[in-house]
Parts: sequence; C-alpha cells; structure tokens
Amino acid sequence: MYTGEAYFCSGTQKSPNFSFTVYPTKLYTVLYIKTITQQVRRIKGTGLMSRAVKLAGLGTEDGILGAIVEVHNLGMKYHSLNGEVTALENISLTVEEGEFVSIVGPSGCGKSTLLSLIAGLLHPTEGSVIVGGRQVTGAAHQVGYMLQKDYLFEWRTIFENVILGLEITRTLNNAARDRVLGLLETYGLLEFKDKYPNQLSGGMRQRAALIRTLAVDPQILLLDEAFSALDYQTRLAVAEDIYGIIKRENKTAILVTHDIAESISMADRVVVMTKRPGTIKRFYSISLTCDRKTPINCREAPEFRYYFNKIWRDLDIHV
Amino acid sequence: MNRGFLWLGSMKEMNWLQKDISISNEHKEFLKKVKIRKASILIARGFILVAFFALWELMAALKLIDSFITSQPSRIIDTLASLYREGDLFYHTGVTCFETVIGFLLGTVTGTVIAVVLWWSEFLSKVLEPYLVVLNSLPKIALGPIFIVWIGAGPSSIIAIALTISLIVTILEVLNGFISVDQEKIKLVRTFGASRTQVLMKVVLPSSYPVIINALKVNVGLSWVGVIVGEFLVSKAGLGYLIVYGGQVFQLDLVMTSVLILSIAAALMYQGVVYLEKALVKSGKHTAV
Ligand SMILES: Nc1ncnc2c1ncn2[C@@H]1O[C@H](COP(=O)(O)OP(=O)(O)OP(=O)(O)O)[C@@H](O)[C@H]1O
Ligand SMILES: [Mg+2]
Repeated sequence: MYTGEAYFCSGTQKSPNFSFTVYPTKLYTVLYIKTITQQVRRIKGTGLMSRAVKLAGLGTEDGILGAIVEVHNLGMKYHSLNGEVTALENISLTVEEGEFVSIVGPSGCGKSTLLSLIAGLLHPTEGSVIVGGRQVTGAAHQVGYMLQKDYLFEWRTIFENVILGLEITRTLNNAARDRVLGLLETYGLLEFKDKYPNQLSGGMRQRAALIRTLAVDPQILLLDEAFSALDYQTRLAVAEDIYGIIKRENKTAILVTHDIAESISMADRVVVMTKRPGTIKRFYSISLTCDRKTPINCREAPEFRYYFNKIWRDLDIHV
Repeated sequence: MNRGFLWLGSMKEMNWLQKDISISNEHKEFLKKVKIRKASILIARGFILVAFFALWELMAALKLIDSFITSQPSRIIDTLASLYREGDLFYHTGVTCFETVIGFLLGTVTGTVIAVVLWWSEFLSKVLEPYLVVLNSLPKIALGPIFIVWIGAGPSSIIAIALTISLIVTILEVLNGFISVDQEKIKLVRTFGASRTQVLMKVVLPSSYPVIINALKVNVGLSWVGVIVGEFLVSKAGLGYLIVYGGQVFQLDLVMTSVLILSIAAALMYQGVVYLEKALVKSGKHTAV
C-alpha cells in the first residue's frame, strides 16, 4: 500500500536539529499507517531532513511519519511587575494525525498557555512548536481553537458568525460559502442560519462555534475546556456531539479539561501535567473495550475506572 | 379608549397586547390588568401636563401671580403665533438645532476617532491620561471666550463650544468601552490570524456599539448646554439669543416661549437618538456586552 520514500514531514526550514522526533510516537505507528496516503499529499518537510533521518538509521516507518504537532522542549515564562512566572518547563509532546489527545492538570499549570503556544498566539521562551512540518511563528489557520465559551458574536447571525474566520483570512468565496452551508446542513443548523445566537440553545451554540472553527478547514482542533461552561447533562451530550463531528471530519484534536472522566472518554491518549511550573508527568494510552467508540459508550468500558484512578492519583489533589 | 395618549415606546407593546387572542382566561385577566395599568400611567402623565398649564393660566387670569414676570400660557401661544408670522420661529429654532446636531455629531465622531487612536497606541493613551483627566474636570464653558477670540463671534464658536463639551467625555467613555471588550473574544479572532485592524473592525467596534450610542445620548444633552451658553455669549440668532434678548428687555413671554420650544426640541432630538439606537440595535442583536 505504501511504498514511497521519505514521508517525513517534521522538518523546519531553519533549524537543523533533528534529534527530537524520535520518542514515544513509535508506539502508535501501526495505527496510523492508514493515514499515510493522506500524509503523502501534504508533505512540506525538506527532503534533506528525511535523508538525514534515514542516514541516522531511524527508518521511515517510524511513528513520526504521522506527527502533525510536535512540541520540543517548550518553556514559557510570563513577566510581570510582581516577578516572573514559569508557566511551562521542558514540555515535549507529539500528536499524530487523527489522534485525540486530552491534557489534564491542576489549575494554573499552564494548559491554556500550551494551547496558545501551539496556536501561535504566544511566543515560547524556549523550545519550538512544529505544526504540519512548519515551525509556528504566528497564528496560522491550520490550527482551530475552541474556547471555554462559544463567544458567538451577538450582533451577527449564526451564518455571519460561522464565516468569521473566512472573512478574517480573506478566503470567503462561493466555494467556501457552500462548504459552510453544507456543514450547517450536516449538523442541523441550516434552519437557524439567519437567527441570532441568543435564539439558540447552549448545545447548538457550541456546535455553531465548532462549525465556525471548521469553516477555515484547520488540520488540528484545540479545545480549551470547551464544554465546561455547560451544565452536566448538556455537557455530556455536547461532548458526544462534538466528538462525533471531529471524528467524521477526520480532525486531530487536543482537548484541555479538568474533568478526568471526560479526558478518558474522548481521548486516544491522556497527558497528565504537574502543577506549576507545568511539566508532563505521564502519558496514558487509552484502550477501552467498547462497541462503538463514543464518549458515552467509553464510560461504560471496564477499564475506565482503572484509568480514572491512575490519573486521579497522578493529579494528587488535596483539599 | 386611551388613544391620543400613546407616548413613544408604549405603542408597540399595546399593539402586541391586542394581537394575542387564543389564550386562557387567567392570562386574559393578567393582560387586561397590564393594559389598564399602562393606560392609567399614560392618563396620569397627561393629567399633570394639562393641570400644570391650566393652573398657570388660571392663576394668571385671577391675578394671583404677576403674568408680567411669570408669563402665561395664552400669552405664550400669542408669542408663538407672532414669531411664526414673522418667520422667526423656525429660523431661530433651526439655527439652534443645527448648531446642536453638528456639535454633538462632531463631538461623538471626533471623540470616537481619538478613542480608536488611543486604543491603538497604549503608550500614547498612558502618556495622555493625566491631560485627559484634567481636561475632563475643567468646565469647558470657561473656554468659550477663547474660542470667540480665536474663531470669531458666530456659529463656528458656538459649535466649537458644543463640541468641546462632549469631546473629552466621549473619548474617556468610548476608550473605556474599547478596553473592557472581552479579551477572549479578541483571542478568538486572533486564532484566525486577525490583524489589529481586523480586531478593531470585527470585535472592538461592534462590541462597543452600545457604549457609542450611549455617548451619543449623553452628548445630545451636553451639546444643548454648549450651544445655549454659546448663544448667550455671542449670537445674533437662535433660541439662546431669544432667551437672553427677552431677559434683557424684560419680555418674559419671549423667554418662556423659547424655553418651551427648547424643551420640546431637546426631547425630540433625544427621542431621535433613541429611535436611531433601536434601528441600529434591532431585535436583541445587542444584549448587554
Ligand atoms: N498573561 C499572563 N501574565 C502573567 N502570568 C500569566 C499570564 N497568563 C497566565 N499566567 C500564569 O501562568 C500560569 C499558567 O496559566 P494558564 O492559564 O496556562 O493555566 P491553566 O492550566 O490553563 O489554568 P486553568 O486550569 O485555571 O485554566 C498561571 O499560574 C497564570 O497565573
Ligand atoms: Mg486554562
């Protein structure tokens, strides 16, 4: 099925530092062979890089093939008059294409900071972020960001809200407009397109927010506590809903949450962070036995409790 | 039954009440109560107005008050009629309204533009902060004579006074509105790679609509003050001029008439802004920000 050479797409144009790509991702190789054909289409890395990797004997069939987000030794400090805050320290993380990664950690450990760095909204103090083979230097629309609240603009209709990203990136043409209408139709919002946000339920608003993010066709979705503003019942339903959409649209996702159960039920892998300065404490590959992998079904899986207890202990929460 | 008493704003709700039909008896009862209450408020309002003028007229007619000093409704009507006959009514009212509209539009627009500049450059806004505070607390009327010397005794000075009076407060209010725009909304558009201009156009300005409209409302009032004071100081036309002139020649009929016209014009202009607000901020488009 896959015979080409050098599908390595993690190079940066400038930095010749390749030692970084070799860790845990190997484990996931097998799962992502199927995405390789997709990968072939969007190789952006320098040929030089792949040759170097071959020479180093790392082979091309490493998991790194499907890496879409690579975070290398990332460190972030905030400066204020009260002094300096080290929010993140030595974070290294690779996310595969199509993977769903959850990040849990104590309050203030730098989860939002990490997402902002991946989205290019902040510049790291140390280390680098590579998305789709390119070093992140500023906000790029291959990364879609969903915030805690939907932040639909109340002065715009749902349709006008959903095309916001297209307006800003100046990519609003008829094709894009049709695609957005298609998304609205698929996800049951077409009849509400001329309504204002305050005429929609919380779940529908969150769905509209997701479509706004999907409209610019990002490769990666970052969800920062995207469901936590909703009440518990709605939250379960919306998580199920959004999960379905992300899977159907074949997106890679990184979800930050405080809810351990939510993180396990949605993710292929859970990243547990330590308290400030945030570092990565542990990775958990989640494998649950359930018929159809959806967040609600996953909660029924026998292994669920095992992961829950492990992560709970890792977080080491005292009251 | 209460037709003729409909005051702006109540009209829509009344129609709405009349439209709802297929409803339970209790609800009908409730609606009826609401309707009666509304009607009684309107009637009471009308009554105060009528009673005030009736009492005034009566007391003057019975010589309980000296109508030479207090004037009297019937004499006000005569004055109105003669002003109208001589073509002065619309001339003076027009001059004052024109100066006011220009003053408050310029004040609001210039103030908003300056607020945009200060939002853009935080450095500049920090540098200018103390000056704005001092200028804000200065009674701008005090600058009147300076404008008259610089610009000349005419409508331009009057407009300048009206503008200055609303300018600083607009800058401060609107800038404050800009700054208090939800940072997360700005973050949202930044995730799409928005430039600073786009942040301004897509988020900051539209979210500050209500603040700007509010500034407009406040500025209408302030501009009236500016214009009338300006006319007191220099003018040869306008309601302020009529008031000062009437006072000087002890013609209280003219003063009272002008004050009456002034209050009607000011109320209408205020309602105009409210109407504009409603037109711009249609059907709950802008809930509180
Ligand atoms: N702009 C800033 N200036 C200074 N310090 C900041 C800034 N933003 C965040 N911090 C600090 O950095 C640390 C990490 O913040 P961050 O918001 O990333 O944490 P978080 O894990 O998302 O927290 P939460 O779970 O509460 O959302 C916090 O201690 C915070 O106080
Ligand atoms: Mg956070």
